[in-house]
Amino acid sequence: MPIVPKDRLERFRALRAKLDPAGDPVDAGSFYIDSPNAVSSRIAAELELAPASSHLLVGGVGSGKTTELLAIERRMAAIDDVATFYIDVSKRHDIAKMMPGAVVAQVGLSLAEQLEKTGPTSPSIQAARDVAFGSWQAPDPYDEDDGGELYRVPGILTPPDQVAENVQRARFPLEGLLHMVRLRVRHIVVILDGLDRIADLQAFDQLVHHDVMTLTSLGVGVVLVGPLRALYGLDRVLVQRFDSFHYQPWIDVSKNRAGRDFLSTVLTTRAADAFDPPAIDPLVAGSGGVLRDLLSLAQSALVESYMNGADRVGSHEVDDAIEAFGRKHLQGVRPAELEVLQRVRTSGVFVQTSEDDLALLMTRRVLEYRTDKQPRYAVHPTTDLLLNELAR
Amino acid sequence: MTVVAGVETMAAGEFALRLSMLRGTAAYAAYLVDTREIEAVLVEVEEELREVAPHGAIARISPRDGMQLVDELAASSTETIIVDTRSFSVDDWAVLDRRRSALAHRGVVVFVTTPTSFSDLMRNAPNLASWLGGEVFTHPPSNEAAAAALRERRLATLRAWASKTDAEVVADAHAGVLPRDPEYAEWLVLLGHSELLGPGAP
Repeated sequence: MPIVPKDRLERFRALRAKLDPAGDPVDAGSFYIDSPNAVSSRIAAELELAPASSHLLVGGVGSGKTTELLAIERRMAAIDDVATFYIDVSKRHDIAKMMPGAVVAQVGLSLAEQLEKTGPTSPSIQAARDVAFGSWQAPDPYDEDDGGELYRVPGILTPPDQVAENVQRARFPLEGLLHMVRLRVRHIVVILDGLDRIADLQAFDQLVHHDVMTLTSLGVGVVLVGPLRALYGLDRVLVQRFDSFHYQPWIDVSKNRAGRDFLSTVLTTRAADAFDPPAIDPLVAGSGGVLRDLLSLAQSALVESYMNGADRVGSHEVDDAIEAFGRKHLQGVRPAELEVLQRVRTSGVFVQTSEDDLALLMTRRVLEYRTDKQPRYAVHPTTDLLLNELAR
Repeated sequence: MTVVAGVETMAAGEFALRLSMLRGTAAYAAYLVDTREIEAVLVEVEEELREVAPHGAIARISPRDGMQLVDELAASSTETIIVDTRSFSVDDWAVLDRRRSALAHRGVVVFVTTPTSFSDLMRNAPNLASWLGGEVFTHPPSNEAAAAALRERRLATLRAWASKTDAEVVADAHAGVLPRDPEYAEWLVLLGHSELLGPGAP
């Protein structure tokens, strides 16, 4: 086992931490750079003008949706009469088991927790908790059929199944909490993250229909992240439930100069010391314009440099990182999918006709770009060479 | 069947050194191991990690399913956690994908799993997979495991060549109707049915 000087190890760890793609995006706030035509600018501007408006944001895995949501939160913090709450609805609950009312309940819970920190007490705070997690209720004294014993009312986050009743139950304490917030600020915006990982579009539609509509009817502005698959099966009714629809694309680094410069700046802003200048372009190209993959590749290349005894990431380390990523990225690909990937690689032709085709987009094995009017398809650049070898 | 452009092989010692560099951040890695060797490799990775980071806190857990992993990670503040995920099914990976935010852990989480289970992860947990980046490596197989893997690859080639299953070939040999091509003889030997290589067999 090689012995390494401790300060060298600490330097590399510190650089790697700055390139962390899996860390809490909240921590990355100081590194935030506006991307060209940033979705956050657009949505924040619309919310400034219409704080009770609703917005659906859709984008691929790793495209930086959460980062943009947090940028919206930061922008809105500058507006005096708006309180903004970022809520990851997948953090406390399995979104596959989410029933209508669950999003309203989580908004209530989040407001209750924030209000509790700042002091004021209200029955609505406990009521929000009871609605979310369940409570013991006393029997109805006027009901002769009631057994006279305390009984358990299940929480909406441990799902019962009465849809309309759930939404009403969740709405009740939320109204009280909103009233308390509005004593201090006029407008309330909630930013709802995590629903992009929901696979069942109908369940997503139900949540939008019941929960988003409830929030907007209470005058709350809503920004909601939706699943990428919604883009391919999205019917007009679902989109029309929102005031506006936004797409967070992957960046076409081969066609979009401004996008390429943006990704280079992401790296140099976070850890300029880590890279030899010639290493940056190949990292950006290898990422396929997927922000999270850019950071992952940069981190892997940095680890390679450390293992190789180098001081900075050079082209050799980038090549190693790209190959390792590409090999991982092809795991689980079936023969029929391999044929599709080879067709996309050689001709750019991709016709999404089946769930398996859609899965290639969901897993970023095929990337779709919308820089021009026509969508352009490519395989993930890290797999390009490997696919070429497999085709021989 | 999935297409394998094999993941890079890395010895446990080098893998542990690599993991030690990931400390101090939220990092996720996977180590793919032959099913028969997974128990020994779990111990080996832990020992190597203790050697390169003697003062680091390390835990090894074997959650029965994805939900239990979510609960255990939420309850643990141990810096490096080695997770035995060999038994994780498609459903477990799908749960972990949906609950990815709840998996956030300040430290290094290493999934030690089989290539098959990892393929399931790659197909059913794109969000979780995106956290792994390129930190995925294969444990070099022992001689025995390498021979078994070689045997399985050759059998797969023979099945594709003849469009027959192992059971069909054995049945044909029993019935004395197996073609006399040498590939069928090799097939029977690989299946451990050398006794069927009689005068009437290939």
